Amino acid sequence: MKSDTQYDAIVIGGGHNGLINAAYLAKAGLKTIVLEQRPLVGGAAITEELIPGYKFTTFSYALSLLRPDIVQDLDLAAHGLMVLPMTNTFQPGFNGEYMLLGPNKDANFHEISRFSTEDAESYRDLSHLINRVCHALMPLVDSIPPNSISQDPADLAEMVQLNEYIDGLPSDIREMIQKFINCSAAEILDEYLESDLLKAQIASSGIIGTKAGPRSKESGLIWLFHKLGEYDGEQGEWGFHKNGNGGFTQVLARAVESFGGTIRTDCGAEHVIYANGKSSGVLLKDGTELNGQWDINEGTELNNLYDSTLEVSESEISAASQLLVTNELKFLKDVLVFHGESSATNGLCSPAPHLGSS
Amino acid sequence: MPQTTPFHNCLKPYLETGIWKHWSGYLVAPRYQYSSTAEYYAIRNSVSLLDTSPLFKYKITGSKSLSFLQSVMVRDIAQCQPGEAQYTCWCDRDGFVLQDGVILRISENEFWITSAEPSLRYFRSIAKKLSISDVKIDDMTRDFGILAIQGPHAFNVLSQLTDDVGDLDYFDLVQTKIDDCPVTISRTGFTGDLGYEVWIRSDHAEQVWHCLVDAGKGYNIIPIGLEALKMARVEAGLLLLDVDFNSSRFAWVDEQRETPVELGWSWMLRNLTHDPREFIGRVAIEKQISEKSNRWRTVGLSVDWHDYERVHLETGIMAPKHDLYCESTKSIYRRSDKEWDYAGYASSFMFSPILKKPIAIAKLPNDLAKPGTEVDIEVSVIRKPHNVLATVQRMPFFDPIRKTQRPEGRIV
Repeated sequence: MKSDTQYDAIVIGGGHNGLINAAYLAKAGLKTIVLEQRPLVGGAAITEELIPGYKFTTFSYALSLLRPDIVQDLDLAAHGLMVLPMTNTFQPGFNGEYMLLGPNKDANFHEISRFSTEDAESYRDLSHLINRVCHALMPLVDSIPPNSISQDPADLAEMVQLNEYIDGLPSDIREMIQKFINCSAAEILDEYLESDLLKAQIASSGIIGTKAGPRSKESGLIWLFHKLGEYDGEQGEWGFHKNGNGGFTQVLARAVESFGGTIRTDCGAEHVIYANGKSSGVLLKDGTELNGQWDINEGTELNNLYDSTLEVSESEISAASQLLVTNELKFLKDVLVFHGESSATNGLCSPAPHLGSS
Repeated sequence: MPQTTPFHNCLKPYLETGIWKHWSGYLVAPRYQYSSTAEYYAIRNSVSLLDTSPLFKYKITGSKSLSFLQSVMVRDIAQCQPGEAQYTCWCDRDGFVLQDGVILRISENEFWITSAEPSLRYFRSIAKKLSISDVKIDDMTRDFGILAIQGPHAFNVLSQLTDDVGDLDYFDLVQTKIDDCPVTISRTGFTGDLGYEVWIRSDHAEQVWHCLVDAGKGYNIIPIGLEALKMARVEAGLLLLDVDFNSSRFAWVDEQRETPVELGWSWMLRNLTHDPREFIGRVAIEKQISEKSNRWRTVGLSVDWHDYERVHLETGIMAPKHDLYCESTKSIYRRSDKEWDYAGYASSFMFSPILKKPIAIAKLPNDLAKPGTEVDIEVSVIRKPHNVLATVQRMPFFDPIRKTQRPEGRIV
């Protein structure tokens, strides 16, 4: 059975990335449809009433890597964006002991001082250093990472440029980047702090959303990944969306529709239809064929958006969603890791890990 | 929850405004009365009590304590005998200032330091880095409260409580007792007036407080808030961390960092040629001096009050003067044919109640830093920028003889 409607773009999977892609495509004037196999959009960013009267944000539960460009380009405020700040982090200890950190640096100093006055001071030094690392990496976050395995002269030139940028950073920032790539969160924290409670509190950034532990090799890089997130410029801080992260993907869905895009739920895709080396549509699970005319080889920016949706399998999409994978992670994986490997002779720890899938 | 100082219960009843603010996480009052200027006059006319307990306090002991401080501090603490204090600063390797503070030399091998920002780990890490083993750095921040008793009658009040204060010259200190409580009194302060700072063990704080207040009754002694102190410190030409300069430790770029020369602290470096010490930052500082490569200097600005009034009156409003103290940056322009020829900025600006004119602490390039040089300072009048004539002046702006003179008998 063939559907009569001809789409310019078919986005398979209505997770937050799929929805954002679709919104951009629709905004660009393409006739766009999002196919979501579940009854609701959101992918790993969903909030569902699992028990009558109680809503649960099942997987991804906080927001910090959402780039401001997306908010503005898609006019998300008009569609209900409401990210509330997470003002405190609580670390329970043994025997009723705890550490409660908040948005005030002096109050945090006194709180940490209950365990170690030196740590209270060191925490400031470490935070400032990490903020400087993030500041150094930020310009790269919004750019498309160069292809680190290509032998194309243009790609090689981009990699050289990137390496020159990193080599040009202050030495303490470069050293810290190396540590994030090569060391576990625990190893880095042991160098700066003595209080286990404070270390535990910070190390959570190195394991959240992954199966890593604070002594896993990749936890340093995961920590940096989370630090690259921000809440209104507060590095590593998180926000909670009104009505959960499902509330956020509902905002995205409204944005898609406001630009004329169509969202179809309960609508799984069987496979992409290829003919003559080109994709020409999607076969749905119910046997319907959707026609889509696209050319993923044209238009660099759109190309990039297409790529992330079309060239991965469904299982990869869901795995990626769990990590809230965005440009940052691509950047970390493709760029920093390459750089780390290229200078792995410094004998720190092992080469950097492969982080999830994107 | 914010912390409270050991004097909190004593100070609370004086708080007419109901306003506390935070200083290093402690509750302190910006002003107790509604008028900061009234409190300011306690510093200049009678006597004031300021709770400076939130300052970080460190004790440095051990046979190598002197050489440790000689390696860290810009001024040579060996010039200080036991019983003397010194105002100094410490820098990073690039010669950029980390902090300023006062060091009390309690005895041959015991020093107490106050600092605005935590420095325990920093000092300990430097001792380790320099392999200075027999030096011990302890945090005494919570062990002591400090009361600054400042103003022309400060001596009259303190001398009722201890005879030892009579022998204190400027920057001397003595360990003595008030009402049987051990105290350390230094003739120091941040007001540019006659004054003392009293270190009191936290558990004796309230007892000594009541002694001071009782002794001060005939002299109109009052507690003052930070705003009054800040007004006095600008007149005294004393720079404030995070207002007139930033610690190099938490700066992002060198533009935010400053060397002692750039901060107008060249006087701290006067004896450098006869001083063989290798303190942190010395190489960079000496290079900057010999190459004259300082980017600016920190100077005093005396604002022309006629001109200041004029730009307001011409706009149809009275010039604001009372309780005027401002820490937001004001741009300064070169007086030339070019309009708005940016030259530097003022980091502190206030109307001096005693000099009856606006004054400022400013950063200016070397060619504009000579006393007598005229510049324009930008003042906002009904939300529009106006230029006002100002003249570079040596600081302090106000420097009473009583600040350094030995008090004789009762001061009237």
